Amino acid sequence: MKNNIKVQRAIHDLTQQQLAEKAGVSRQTVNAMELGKYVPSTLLALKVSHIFGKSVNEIFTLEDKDWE
Amino acid sequence: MPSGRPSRCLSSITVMDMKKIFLLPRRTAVAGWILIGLYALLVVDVCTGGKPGGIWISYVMSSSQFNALGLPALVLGMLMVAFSRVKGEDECTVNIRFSSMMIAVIADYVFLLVVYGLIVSSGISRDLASAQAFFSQMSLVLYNLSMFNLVFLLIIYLLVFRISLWRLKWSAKNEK
Repeated sequence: MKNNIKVQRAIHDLTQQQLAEKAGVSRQTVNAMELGKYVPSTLLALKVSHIFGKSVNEIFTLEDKDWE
Repeated sequence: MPSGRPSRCLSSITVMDMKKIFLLPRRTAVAGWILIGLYALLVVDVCTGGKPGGIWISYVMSSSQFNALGLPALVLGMLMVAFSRVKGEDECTVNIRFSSMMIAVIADYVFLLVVYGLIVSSGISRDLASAQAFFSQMSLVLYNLSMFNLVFLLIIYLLVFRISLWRLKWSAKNEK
């Protein structure tokens, strides 16, 4: 699953720490999500998309390998 | 599914929510490390004493008392460390906990089966009389193995969990 959290952070001028505090997780978790190492729960994905004022599909997108 | 009250299945899934998972407070880990440290000190004392009971532990308890109390204290200490909250506990760390526990359980049972298989295979190849004597001797080994198994699972879990946490922190180190 791909995401554009890093781009959205830049648009909203947020650091990883600030986004982590808003979403109620650690900075390491935000970093792992950005790098695609951690797939967030539905709850966290909804929180992140709410913080950026977008829908979940605009932040997180499925890849072909997710269907395998 | 009709809307309204969640089914029993759904309510059990919500228990897995990171906010509802049961974990001990962070300071419990400190007490756990103290218990583990005390056990390690006592083991070193017993090993370097040159006699059962060691140098100074013999003033406190006998060797058999130490054996009876040491292992439960070690297991309790390790449980306290393993299941207390870490700094910045969130759904990602809960995820790491579950995957670490799965690795630890698999490693533990593989270890147990391999050792058990080695013991049984070396006993089966003997004739009946010596096999009976062999297995009666091995009952103590199997008892010690099961005791060691109590600690081995937690050691593997703690190692995998701590290394995974360290890797998570390390990858985030240079990011802002």
